[in-house]
Amino acid sequence: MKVPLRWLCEWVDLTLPVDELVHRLNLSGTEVEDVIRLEAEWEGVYVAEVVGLERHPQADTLFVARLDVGSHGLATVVTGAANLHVGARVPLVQPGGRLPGGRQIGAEALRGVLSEGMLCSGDELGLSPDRSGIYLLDGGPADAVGRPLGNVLGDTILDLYVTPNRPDCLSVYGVAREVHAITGAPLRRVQTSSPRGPRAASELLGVEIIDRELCARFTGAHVAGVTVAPSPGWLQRRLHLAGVRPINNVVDATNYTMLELGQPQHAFDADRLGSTIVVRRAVAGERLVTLDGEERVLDGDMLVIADALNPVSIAGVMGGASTEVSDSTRNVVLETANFESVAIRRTSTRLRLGSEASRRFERGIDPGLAKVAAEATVELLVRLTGGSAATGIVDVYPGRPEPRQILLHEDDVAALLGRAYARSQVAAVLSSLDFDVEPRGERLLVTVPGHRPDVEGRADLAEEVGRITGYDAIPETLPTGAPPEPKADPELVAAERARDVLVGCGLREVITYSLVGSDSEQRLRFLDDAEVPDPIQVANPISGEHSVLRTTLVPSLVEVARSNLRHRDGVAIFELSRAYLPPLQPLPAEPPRLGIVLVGRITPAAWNVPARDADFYDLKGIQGIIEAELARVRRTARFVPASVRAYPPRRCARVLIDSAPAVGILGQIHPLAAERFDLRGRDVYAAELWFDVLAHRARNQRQISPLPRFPAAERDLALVIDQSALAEDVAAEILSSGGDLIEGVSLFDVFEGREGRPVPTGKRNLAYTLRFRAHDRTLTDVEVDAAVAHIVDATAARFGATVRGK
Amino acid sequence: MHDWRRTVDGLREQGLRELSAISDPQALERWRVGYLGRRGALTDALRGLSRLPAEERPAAGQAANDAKRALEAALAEREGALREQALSRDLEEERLDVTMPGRPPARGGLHPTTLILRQITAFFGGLGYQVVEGPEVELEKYNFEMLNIPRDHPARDMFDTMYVRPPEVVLRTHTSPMQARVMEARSEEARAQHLPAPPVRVVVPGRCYRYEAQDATHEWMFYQVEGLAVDVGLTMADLKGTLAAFARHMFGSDVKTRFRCDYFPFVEPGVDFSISTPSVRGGAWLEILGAGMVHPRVLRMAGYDPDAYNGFAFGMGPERIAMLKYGISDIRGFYSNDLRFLEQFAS
Repeated sequence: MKVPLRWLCEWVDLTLPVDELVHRLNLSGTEVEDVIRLEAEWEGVYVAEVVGLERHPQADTLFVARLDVGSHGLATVVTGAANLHVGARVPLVQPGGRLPGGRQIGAEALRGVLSEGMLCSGDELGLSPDRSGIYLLDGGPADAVGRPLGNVLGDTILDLYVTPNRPDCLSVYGVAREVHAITGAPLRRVQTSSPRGPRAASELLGVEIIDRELCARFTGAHVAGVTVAPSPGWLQRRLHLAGVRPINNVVDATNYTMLELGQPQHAFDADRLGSTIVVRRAVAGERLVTLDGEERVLDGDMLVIADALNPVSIAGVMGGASTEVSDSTRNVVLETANFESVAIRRTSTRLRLGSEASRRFERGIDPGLAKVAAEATVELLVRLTGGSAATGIVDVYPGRPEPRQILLHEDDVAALLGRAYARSQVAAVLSSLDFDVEPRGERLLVTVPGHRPDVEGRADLAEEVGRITGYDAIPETLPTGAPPEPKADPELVAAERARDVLVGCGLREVITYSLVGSDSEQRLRFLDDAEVPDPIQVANPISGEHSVLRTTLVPSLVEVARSNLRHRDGVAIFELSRAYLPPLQPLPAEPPRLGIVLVGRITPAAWNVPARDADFYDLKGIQGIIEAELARVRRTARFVPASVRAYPPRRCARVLIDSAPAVGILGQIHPLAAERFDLRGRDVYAAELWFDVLAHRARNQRQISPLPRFPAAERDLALVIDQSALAEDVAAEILSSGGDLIEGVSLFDVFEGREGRPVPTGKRNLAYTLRFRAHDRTLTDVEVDAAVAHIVDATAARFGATVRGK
Repeated sequence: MHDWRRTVDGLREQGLRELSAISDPQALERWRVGYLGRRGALTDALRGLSRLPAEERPAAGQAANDAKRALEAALAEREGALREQALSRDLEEERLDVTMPGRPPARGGLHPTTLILRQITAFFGGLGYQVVEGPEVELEKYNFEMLNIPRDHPARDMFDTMYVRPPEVVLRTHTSPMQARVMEARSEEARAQHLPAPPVRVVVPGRCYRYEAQDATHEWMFYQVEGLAVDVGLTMADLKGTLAAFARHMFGSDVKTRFRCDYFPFVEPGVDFSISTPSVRGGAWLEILGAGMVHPRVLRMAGYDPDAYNGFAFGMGPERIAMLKYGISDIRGFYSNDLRFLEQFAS
């Protein structure tokens, strides 16, 4: 809502500097988004009077004007405008002056005549949309000539953001009331009188409201014998500065009242409207061409104004073209009505048709305002159009609301705001906002005025007191009650621990969008096809790239890797976020997932470090650390080779814990899938872990075991074994066959058999260090040798392993 | 006796003299064998002790032992000095160029949103707030209705919404639905046990979505942290004190704070909370969050009697706080994940 300060000052006697006013409006909830000082952009612009006017001797389309610029002497200006006349007062930019936008004006010769400056249009000055001629000042002080234009027509416009709860502040008067309440400046009251004329309005006009719940009130006024013409300059200027386009004197009058009092109105050409106005719901499929020339198809929830047969206007949203006021209009019917806010909003949403009127109606307008507004506009119409009003106003008012009343004690305010207020202070604040306040025993009976439909109870009244007296006055305290028993969510605790561990592993956390393109998961089918559900679609996505809720993090992470590989050799990243899994019932599952992607140079070359690219075992090592850190027990995850479309065969594993289903998958992305991400020729390693399952197994620090009292004995054991035997199975066999004495097994060397090597083709050598210990004695060589022999037998039996070198 | 004594003193003197000239470990070993070894000169002399008359033996024995100890001590000292010399020589030969680069472990780091979320939750955790999360795909009922934002209300314009299954399933536009969910769950649980509804203190971090074009200050996906406290006797002064302490935690002790009246349908009164501190944008007033006293209707819908309980709530954007704290000018940097941007944040 744009409020020109000169207009505002007609209603409230404002003496505060603008900056102070803006500050107070801001703190009290009327947010000033911008302050536009018109004259700040007028430099060297003065009011001049045309004292001579003749055609340019060298050019038919130009005029030479002689101007009196008061104390600045006389000036000669060449202009192409045809709307000048001797005696007109016009804005002159003197040479060296500037116009909005910083355009500087000089003195220049036009076809041999020196033009000392420039005369401006309303558009050039920001005073009106008119570009067709020179802006002609109407009226103004007699001594205006020679004064800076800013002195005469300058204005400051407050551009306000009005929150949806405050219909009243979408009007100059409503803002004036706020200014009155926060500054104490006296507020002028709206005064109108019932129109009087040769005929009664009720003779000329009948009104019938059929849908009373959607129309609380409908008033009609009649003005006959109007001359439709452009509005005078002052009116056009006001509308323009308030952001509304001037049209003609009739339409402008209704808009003027809307801006001033907040009541939307509509003027009909009376001769194109039947004599009876019917307010009813549209019949489904009924059509109406609105003022903007569009044909609208209506439905049965929409309220229309109709004559005996057809709709002539969409109530509260936009009038119809057939009854539009035009230059030939002679008689006018003025509609000033009150429509139900929800219905208006629904209609305007459904038709995608918003207007200044619908914007106001949907917030709720005081039904009490209609008659005053009608009278104000009729007065204006009579003044502007030369027409004559009919006596009275036809007023059908089936929905007169019961005034809302609230009993309030000052302690109610204190209990919410946390500081005491005197009863008189509470009463004074509310009265200044036009609430009616009466003592009722120990309390105040507060009657809420119609323009404040947002105020429903004591909390709302407390807010009025708080915001008008200022929240600065409220002290700072802390809640005194004992806080509730803190209960940490183990999954969130585990997530933070996992993040720290991953950062410790040298990974960088990223956060990617939860919405991805519908082809994103196709490009990288990460799971077995059977496990990939069709992702959930967004009905109104922001773009095709972000149109479905992802079911896996990996494509997003690969994409991050791709974009970063443009300017680096390697990427090591993780993300801990949700996946969104159908079905909707009605909400999807949103399990947390941990995604990791490693690609390229994760160890850059340095003088003392050889460069190294990421491989599968980096991924597995990181997974192992997370698992160990979260579970804080000896690792129990198992890795099972998997065949998954996004991976080349035999280069990926499913992670299993205990006997539960897979808790994740890790491996190298299939080169063909990587190519689809513009990563041809790069080995991309990716893991996705079902973090909810991991976290479920997470536990806090377990009890500490005492340190061993007896030494361990170690033995190295190199087994030559079929390629097909999996290292994890071999290790498991060693542990299970090592009896009570075996404490640990670690693989320290592997090499594949080949022609000419001691290990034949098809076999490989797995070299383990075995660690034995007894808790109650130092082991003897004999005991250890026996355990090793047992292991050798067991691996021979299960895998056909032989001990190397034997 | 005197001869014997002279011999011992002579050996001692001679040994010490020779020792001071020794500069390599082999010579030192020869010296040890020559004097202190099993067949060494001093050992020999000690053996001669038995030939002395009985009454002279104690004094002579004392003298011999003194000499032995002196030589042993001198040997140890000489050994130490020689080792030290040798080590210095070695170290000098194998000197490090201490100015060459170190061998760096890989450096990881947290995303700035996580960093700020941790600072926020750490503060409120210390005040007894529990961290909870809620669904991002949310029912319209919780995202709007239960928050006093009815359908066809102009307040809906404040939340440009992405729908999953219109109209009842949405991508949540804020973390505020968890206000309703938490209160509803707590009050229902208490009612089942015939207990009064318990006090609530929670903070809710999480992702939110708006149907909004991106620019330097707008993202269609962003995080929020919701805070909610419900108890008997809570006031706006408590809200103000809590948020002022929070602002000091995030921006330092010289931060100034203020409330400005604002409108959010689920609080009454509603405010926005701004900070001003010299180190951020020259001390301009900057809005960092919206807050207010929980609307009586919201309390009632979620099972808390508004005549008995008050609540306060607040909601903030961690990205905005990070932008102010770290001087980030474009919100789009957060989720486009250019590692050159992310690597500037130290965990």
